[in-house]
Amino acid sequence: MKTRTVGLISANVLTLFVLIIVLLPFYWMIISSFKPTPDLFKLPPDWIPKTWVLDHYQAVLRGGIRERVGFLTYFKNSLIVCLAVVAVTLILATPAAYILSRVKFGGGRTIINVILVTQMVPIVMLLIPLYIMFMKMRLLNTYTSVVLTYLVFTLPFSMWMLKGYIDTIPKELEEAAMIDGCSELAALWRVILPSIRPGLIAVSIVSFLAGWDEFIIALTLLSRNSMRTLPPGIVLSFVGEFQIRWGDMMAASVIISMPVVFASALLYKYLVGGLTKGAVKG
Amino acid sequence: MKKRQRILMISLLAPALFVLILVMLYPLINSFVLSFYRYMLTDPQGITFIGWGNYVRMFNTVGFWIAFRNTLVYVGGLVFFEFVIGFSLALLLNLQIRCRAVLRGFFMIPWIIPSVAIALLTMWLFNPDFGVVNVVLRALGVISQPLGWLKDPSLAMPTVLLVTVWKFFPFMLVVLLAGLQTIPEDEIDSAKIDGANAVRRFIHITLPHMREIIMIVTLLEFIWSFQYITIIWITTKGGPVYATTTFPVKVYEAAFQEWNLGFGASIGVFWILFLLVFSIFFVRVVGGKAESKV
Repeated sequence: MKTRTVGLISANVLTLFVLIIVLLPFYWMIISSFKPTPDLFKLPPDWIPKTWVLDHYQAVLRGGIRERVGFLTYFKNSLIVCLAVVAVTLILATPAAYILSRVKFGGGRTIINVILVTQMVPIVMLLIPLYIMFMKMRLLNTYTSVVLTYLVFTLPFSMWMLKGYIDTIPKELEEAAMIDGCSELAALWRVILPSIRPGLIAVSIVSFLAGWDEFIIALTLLSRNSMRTLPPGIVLSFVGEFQIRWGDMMAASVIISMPVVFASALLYKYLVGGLTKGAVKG
Repeated sequence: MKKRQRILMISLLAPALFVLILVMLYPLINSFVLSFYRYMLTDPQGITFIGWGNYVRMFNTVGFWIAFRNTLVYVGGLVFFEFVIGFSLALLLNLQIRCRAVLRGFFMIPWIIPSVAIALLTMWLFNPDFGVVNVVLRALGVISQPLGWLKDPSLAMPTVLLVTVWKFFPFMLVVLLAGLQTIPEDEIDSAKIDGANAVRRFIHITLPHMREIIMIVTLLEFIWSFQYITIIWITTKGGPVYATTTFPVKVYEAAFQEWNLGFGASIGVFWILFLLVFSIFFVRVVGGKAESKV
């Protein structure tokens, strides 16, 4: 028993040690965003800032006000795109997942194989014909083009994830509702939807994170500055300039990380549940 | 009744299928077609069918084979290190009951932080002149001169690899930990009573239970890693020279910087065929073994 306790304590210490190493870079990101600019170039650096300033945050947020188009515009665009992606994904994936769950297609492995194959398609390659298509339809520089393209990755995994949740609901539940006079659609609405709420939340948060993170598609399809989302917006404002504004870059990084960190912390239970559902069930 | 159900089924599946056909299947077929054309966006009059022209050019370009090698190094490195780190930490976290959920939450932070923030942070941490990585390594005596990291052709790939592993290992950790928790306690307990030590329990109970999950999660990670471009594109743009040019970088450069859409498509086609063959091979070898064992 004693060796077991010693083992557990050393396992705990080791875990904490690894965790500190994993999170240390973020400590540096945060303190760099609060250091006055001259202190950023001090060698050796201050491990804890001697003075804390909000200059960089003001510079990042002010950029959007003075230059008309800036950080706040990008933030608004990102928010619109991500919320639209979440809404469209839920509306399309839920009924489709219901059918995938209730109707048997071939062997049990067929659907996961199809999903795997969809993941193999290179998105930068799809972007080529999509770019031509959106150009002809005059949809470049619109939210529609980006939202549609994001469905390439949000839709397959959402259908797969939701199918996993619906599989766990016994068929008898809907049948009972139908005997009570519900139509199939009403049964889906009243019986299935409330029981897969954790799945719907999980799909929403994962789709939102994917949209918030996406860079190369937004960079390509939204070339007009006023339409840019946060990732390309930040990169094009801060990187490749003559003088790199490290403090502002770190402040911008902290700001774009905050919404997703808070949302994930709040919905943590659902996020983990969703991520593990598909794979663990096999 | 039967007919009504079929109509209902189709109408529920149709919207999702329509969108997938529009944004996935149609462009996929279109890419195959495009790859046989000289299609320059800068020269709309000069669009001509050139047969295998793009493919011949692709196989004869030095840059293509460098990109192929870099892709294998990047993707192979990502899957290997993410798996080793993710599985070790999952085993470690599985030992303790207290605070497991909280710890797992903290470990997920790099996965949640947007790639752009990770990439900008990388440029700052590994900055040759003022980056804290050089400062720390020199203080520890690991290096005597400050290194260029992202600006050094031999160090750029290891650097972006390290950072990308750091961003994505939490996914492996979370899924593998969930898998470990489904292993029935009583099997482990009875093995303990039989006197099996930790290593034997790991080989005879843990691994067989985990084989299916490991197969799916490594295959997915492998396929996803092929797609991932953000960190490389922001920090190095594929350079210095060709040091970090991978397939997505190559396709993107060809299509959206040289505007040679046909050539870009041909690299994409090679990539998807490579992945398809590899995945079938992988599932046959790893999955086949799993079936015969169980």
